[in-house]
Amino acid sequence: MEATKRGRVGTHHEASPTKLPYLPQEVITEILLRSHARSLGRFRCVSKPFHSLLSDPKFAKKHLDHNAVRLGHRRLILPFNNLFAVDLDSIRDGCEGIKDLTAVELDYPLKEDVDFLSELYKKAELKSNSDGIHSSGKYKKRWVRFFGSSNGLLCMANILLLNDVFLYNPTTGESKKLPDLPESLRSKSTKTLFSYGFGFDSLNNDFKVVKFIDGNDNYVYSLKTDSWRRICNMPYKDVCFFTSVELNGAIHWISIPRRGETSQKVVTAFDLTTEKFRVMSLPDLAEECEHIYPKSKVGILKGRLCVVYFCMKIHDVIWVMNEYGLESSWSKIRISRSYKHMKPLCSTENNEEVLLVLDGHLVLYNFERNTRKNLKIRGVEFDKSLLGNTYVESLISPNSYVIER
Amino acid sequence: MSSNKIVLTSSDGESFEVEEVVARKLQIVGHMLEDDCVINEIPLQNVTGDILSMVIEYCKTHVDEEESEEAQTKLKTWDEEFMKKFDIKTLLQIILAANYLNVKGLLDLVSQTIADTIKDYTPEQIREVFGVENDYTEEEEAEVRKENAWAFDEADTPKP
Repeated sequence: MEATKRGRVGTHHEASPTKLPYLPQEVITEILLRSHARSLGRFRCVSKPFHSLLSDPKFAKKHLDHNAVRLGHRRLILPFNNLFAVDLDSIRDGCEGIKDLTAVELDYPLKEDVDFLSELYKKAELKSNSDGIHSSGKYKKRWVRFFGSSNGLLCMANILLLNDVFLYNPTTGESKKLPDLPESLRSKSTKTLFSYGFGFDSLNNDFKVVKFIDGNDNYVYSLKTDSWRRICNMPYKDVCFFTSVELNGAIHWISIPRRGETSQKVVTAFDLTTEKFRVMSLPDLAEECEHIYPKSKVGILKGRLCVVYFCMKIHDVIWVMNEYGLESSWSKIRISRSYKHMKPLCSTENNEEVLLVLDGHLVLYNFERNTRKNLKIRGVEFDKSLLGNTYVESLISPNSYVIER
Repeated sequence: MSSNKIVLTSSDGESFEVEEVVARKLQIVGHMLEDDCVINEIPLQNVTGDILSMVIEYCKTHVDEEESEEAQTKLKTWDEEFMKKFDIKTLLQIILAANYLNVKGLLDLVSQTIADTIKDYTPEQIREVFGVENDYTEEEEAEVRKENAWAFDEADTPKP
């Protein structure tokens, strides 16, 4: 039944002049599910049946979920002057196993919108007298901020216009601007500080963007319904937001809830399916960091939740939660190079090494042997504050996301 | 002794005597053996001898799939070397055989190998490999190519 419904991707074995054997549809589909998204974009031009198969959101999801794609088709996205993508598979191709990487320039929302950008810089000029902003055009394009990367899509905004959030597929270049939060939903709160989180609800097959404004002023956007909803209150009132990461179906960030006089930092997790909050205590970070502005942020190290510092002083410690949710399992790892800015990006395919961005360098770090290698990207100079994200190359379209449970 | 040997015969009449455990890697054979355990010769009508011999080589190597990491790495290296021997035509024949004989591991391996081989193929080359008729008009094809321009020649020189 299923087979007749899907129809064949047109083949004509008798007429083939090359005498290649012809493959049944299900075998061709198996091959395509393991192909790169970029190849599949090209294969849409093969024939109409190929086009309809490869434009089907169900196929895009199945492709993304394939192990070969999920683990093998990862790229790094780096904002510097512009957005660049780097193929992670290419790290280990060269002599001695490591080679210089090649970056590819990307198109992204607002990149070339000259009117919009000039308008933005006028506003920025009014706000700031600092000369760095408008004197040099090259700073314009990099004002992009990522709120998360999940299942082939990135959630991003221009840092001067954080109310305009985009879901962006860096592979196809397709993007979607989220609708504004409807007036009817908005609370009277005048708070202008807020943060976003982004992730995938795998039970409902839905991408969700969460907007945290205040203890009782939080919203979730669902891509499936293309709309915002209010969500339950956070378990505390005042929140300091930093970077968030998605792990085990929840978005995590470090927050400082006000509970009486104490302001012990915690990790807050927002479950993307149940839309409930959960609070996990942190190890006592103060013992390591006695600086004036002790700050830390969450990350993921080899599939585990981790905490790194970013307080402008030097550190050489990473805290890792060995067993997810178990507060007693926080343990400390010391690395052989101290850092001011650091973010673990991803593990290599064999899980032996971890790619870190560390004070503007891309570093391949081996935690078993405590060894590290600096990676270079051809033609590209990083600056100290470089951070990046990883994403999976996919055909997921933010504008036509229709997937049944 | 003969009870744990099975003879597999190809469409062009070539016979291969293999251990029963090896033959059982071909799920189609496994099912036949379950139905009647006295069979010791099985004709396989959709596979030629040269292709069947490759499938058997794969099954012999994968006959006891150990869990240990070392054994897994060794098998993976063997798989890679094994696949390097074949051109696209042979790969297509092997995948057809693996599909018909229902050898799951080989089907996965060849699917991935073909996906890697055709990674940079043009639409024209794909039509040839999969025997697909181009049913687009010229205008339609130009339009689809325009929509998917992102998938054609990625510039790999950075413009800092």
